[in-house]
Amino acid sequence: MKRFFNQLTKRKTALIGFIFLIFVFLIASLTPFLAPMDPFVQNIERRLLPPMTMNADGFTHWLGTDQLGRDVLSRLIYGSRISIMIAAGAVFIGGAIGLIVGLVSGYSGGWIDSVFMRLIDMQLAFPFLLLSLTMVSILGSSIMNVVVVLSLTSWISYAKVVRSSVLSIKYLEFIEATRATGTSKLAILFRHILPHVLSPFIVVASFQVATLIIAESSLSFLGLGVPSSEPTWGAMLADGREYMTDAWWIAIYPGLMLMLVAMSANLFGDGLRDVLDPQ
Amino acid sequence: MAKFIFKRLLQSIIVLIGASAIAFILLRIIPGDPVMLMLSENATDEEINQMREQMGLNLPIWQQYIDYVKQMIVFDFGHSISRGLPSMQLILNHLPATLLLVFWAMVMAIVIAIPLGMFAAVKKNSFSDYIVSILALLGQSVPSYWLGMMLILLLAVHFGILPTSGYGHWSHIILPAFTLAIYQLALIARLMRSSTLDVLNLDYVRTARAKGLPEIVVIFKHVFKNALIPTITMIGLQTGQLLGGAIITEFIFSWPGLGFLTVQSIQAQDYPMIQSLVIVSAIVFIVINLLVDIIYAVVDRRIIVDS
Repeated sequence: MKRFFNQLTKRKTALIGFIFLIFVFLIASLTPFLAPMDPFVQNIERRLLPPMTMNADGFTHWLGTDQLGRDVLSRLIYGSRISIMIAAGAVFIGGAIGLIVGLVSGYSGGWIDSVFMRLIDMQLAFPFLLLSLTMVSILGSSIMNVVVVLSLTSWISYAKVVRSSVLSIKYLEFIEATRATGTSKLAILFRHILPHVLSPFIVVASFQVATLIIAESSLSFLGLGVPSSEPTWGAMLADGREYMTDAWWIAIYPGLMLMLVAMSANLFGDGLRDVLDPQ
Repeated sequence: MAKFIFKRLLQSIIVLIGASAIAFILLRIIPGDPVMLMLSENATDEEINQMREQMGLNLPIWQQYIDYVKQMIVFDFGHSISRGLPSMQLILNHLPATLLLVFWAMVMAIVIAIPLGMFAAVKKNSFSDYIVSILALLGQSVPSYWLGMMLILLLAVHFGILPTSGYGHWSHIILPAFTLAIYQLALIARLMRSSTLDVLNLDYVRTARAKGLPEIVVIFKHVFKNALIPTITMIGLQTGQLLGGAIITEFIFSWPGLGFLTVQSIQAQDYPMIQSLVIVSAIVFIVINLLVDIIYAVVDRRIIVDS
């Protein structure tokens, strides 16, 4: 673990990505203390104010206000909470499903493996966004439903990677040796195989953070997903689209944040992959 | 060869049957009564029953599935509720716009990304290599619909060079195609860079150089073809993904394709239409992948042995 961190700090780009992710995570956990104003308070007199405008109460709207006079910076900060929460939830649930399926499928082989592989082929036939959109529209808008839908549409990526790394070590001598000593199947799977598949698993998870944050924003942008009462980056972009010609600042900042978060997760994933698999 | 094609065909059919079952079940897990969702709140009992009969929801579930498969075989995907037309007709009306968009997006991605990736590999660790790597990373991380909005703001609203949206003139396709292409462009550039680097290290390239061939001949005659192979595989797979990615791009640019139809159907809660769109995109994906695999096996016989 310590060696891993040492190597990671040598990859400057991965480290930058990691630090930015931690930074956004901290913002998301401390929203009520960080947001300068209430993100829900509407004030028609203050609508569409450009960035750096000071309002009548002496507070500055650093990033301007939206079409209902709400402070863009405060909404941006609150939006980070939902993006992070959904991405973390979906990576956790989808990752857990993918990890278990990949382990079982790779280790047992035979018909169990065939069934799971055909299931993955079937799901892969549907474009990711189309499937997510359809499922959210059927289940209805809520944070929990978005987490469930994104988990169910993304578990495949983990399962495929975990399965192939199980296959690559399943026939190695140390596994044979453990089997010869009479260790149970479950113990071999979790005590001896699991530690070896965790690295590729974590790499996939960090790329998935980027994919899922953008997927969540796409759902909110189309008015599905998280209920519209919540400030999300995707919903802010949808507002921004309507007022693009008069108030460019509504659409710019949430998009920039999405890009920076996705880029950090990708940088981190790239660096991690290089460290774990020098090949 | 025939055995390989037969095996792949059989696999595709199994996947298709499973995918159609998934699409069928999707419509059945709607909490509550799908009919109530689709009719207005003050619909009479008679209207509700009529709708239920029309959709076959009064029959047992296995009977519904069999009817659904039977209709699918003759390309009858039911009727759109919000537009009152056969789904298949609507899909065929919107398909050409999407195919046009996907085609030009793929052309843009390939034409820009392949030279860029090769250039970065040849100039490894130079300033230009870093620029290409950073651009590729940006392209993979930017939400494409946001990029599309920014392009509209900059090129259409601010400078007035290109139209914001529309369909029919060649200038209408540039912004949506580029927006849709950006992710694939970045992906192909990165893959092309790494596969060119792999090939550059091979013995036969060293031999070619030792013979005294000029570098430009080595790169274009010896390296290019072999570095292209992994890229072609991915282009095949990514074409399917573009069909999904087109949903949000078409929405931004009001492009009259399948993606636009999808968003409208979802907003209107037109479930039979959504179901048809889901199943048609699965069929398109399965057919594309079957064709790519067969073309591959024809080109490279080792694939048949491996499978």
